[in-house]
Amino acid sequence: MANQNKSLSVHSATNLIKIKIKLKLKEAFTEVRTLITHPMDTGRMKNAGGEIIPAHFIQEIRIEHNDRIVATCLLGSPVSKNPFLKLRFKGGKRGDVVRISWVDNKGDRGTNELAIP
Amino acid sequence: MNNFEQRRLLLKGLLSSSFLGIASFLPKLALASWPKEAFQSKTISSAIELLEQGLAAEESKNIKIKAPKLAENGSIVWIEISTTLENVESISILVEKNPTPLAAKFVLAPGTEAYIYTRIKMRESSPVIALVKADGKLYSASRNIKVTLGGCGG
Amino acid sequence: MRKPLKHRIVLLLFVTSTPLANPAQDLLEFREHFKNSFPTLPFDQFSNGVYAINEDARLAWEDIEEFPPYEEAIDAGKVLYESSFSNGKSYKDCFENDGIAIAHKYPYWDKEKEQVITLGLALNQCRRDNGEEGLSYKRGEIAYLLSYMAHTSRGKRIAIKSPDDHRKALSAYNKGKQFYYQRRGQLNFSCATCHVQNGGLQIRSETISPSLGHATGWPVYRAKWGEVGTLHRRFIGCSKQMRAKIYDPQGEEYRNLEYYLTYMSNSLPINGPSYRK
Repeated sequence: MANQNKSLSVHSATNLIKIKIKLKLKEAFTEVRTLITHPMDTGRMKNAGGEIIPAHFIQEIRIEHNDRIVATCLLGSPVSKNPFLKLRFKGGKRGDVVRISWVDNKGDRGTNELAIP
Repeated sequence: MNNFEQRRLLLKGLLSSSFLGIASFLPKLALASWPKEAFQSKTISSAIELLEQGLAAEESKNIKIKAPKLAENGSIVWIEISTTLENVESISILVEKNPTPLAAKFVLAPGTEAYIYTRIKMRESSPVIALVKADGKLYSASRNIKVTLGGCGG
Repeated sequence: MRKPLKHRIVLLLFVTSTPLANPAQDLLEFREHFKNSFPTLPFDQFSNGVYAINEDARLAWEDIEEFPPYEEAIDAGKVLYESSFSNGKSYKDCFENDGIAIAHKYPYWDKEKEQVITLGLALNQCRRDNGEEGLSYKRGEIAYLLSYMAHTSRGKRIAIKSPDDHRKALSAYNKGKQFYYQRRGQLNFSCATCHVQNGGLQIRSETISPSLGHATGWPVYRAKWGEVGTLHRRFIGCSKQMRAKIYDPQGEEYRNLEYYLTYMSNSLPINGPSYRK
């Protein structure tokens, strides 16, 4: 049982799709830096066994500030693995919530949020 | 308020916020459609044609593209695009020599700076095009980005 | 980049010095060579390899470090390190200080076992001593464990005991040194050809990293691998690229090589796990 939990923890640490967020409040804008741990497979690469790794990539990342959409990022597989974005929006203040959501070509999705420090 | 009532209130609050979260999330996502044909296009011209419904792009000196002088690894090339054009609706990135040139389209709401930074895959050294839609018109700028062949490091 | 004559002479002496030269003397000459090659580079910066000497590459690296790609490996390593073997014991029972902040002291010469003990080898020895199978030495769990342990030594200066405290340790050190300077394979390059003689130069648009600092950042999240991998994995990869013979990961040849290389990076701060292209 303990071994299963350990394997699960290790697996989740290294395989789970996570949304990492950093927010910086500057005078002219709030800067959002986000990274999502997603493979972004193009569907053109082969694995060690010679089989094609199917396309698996984020198609949309949505960034919201206090429930208002500030950016909709439509992505294709040419975006690098573990997509990293930097964007800036006006009107943010301390305590406001920035939410980041993603959907990939398999229909899987995730969301995370952070308050502006 | 006793413990039971406190817990009920907390649970109600949690449920409603997560329900709201899901409810507000799903319908909006159903509206946003992913431009499949544009992303699957094999040439820049057809990708732009499909992405922006036939609008012709005018070269603009007001679009700044920053990128590495020489990208160490073609699978993670950083690129930063900004523009002084006003009323920017979107910024798109296309890599001429990629099998499918369109990498991303960033649709920006009013109040969002005309600025994006991300990392893209480049199969080889290639011109990279930044496409900006502003005030209903389309503008573009291009920059050649060199990617190291891998040499000794592989 | 033209090297001054005095510099070339120092290098020649260094390379052709007798096999039983004094390791402490080797170390002084090694540092002197790189100080001459990179006169304005602060000593500690050698830990950052190419990123210390190539500004363009450094900018890209700093952006990547915003969300370090090896974070997950550190977390996974911690989980693995703290979990028990089937017999109820754990890695903590094999290492001093619960394994915290000890990575910078590896490798070392074990007088009883008469071999160089690297941290990777020690981890597997711990497993086998407790009835568990050994892990593969190039990637995966061993790399996660090493990531965690390196991370707890981050900032600590490499502190390898001088190999001349024991005759057989000296012999292992010298074997590692000879390996480093021996030309091999189709291309007839030695490790030193690129990393000592041509550190900082560009070959086919690649900036070559200097040997000084090569031992500080392991294990490495290599963009090419898309995951963390070990030093021995890189020995093998580079040998393949040089069309040279490869040896077993954590076999005697590569452990002796690691012994020599790490001693040459003595006093540099550990910065593993790290990112490289």
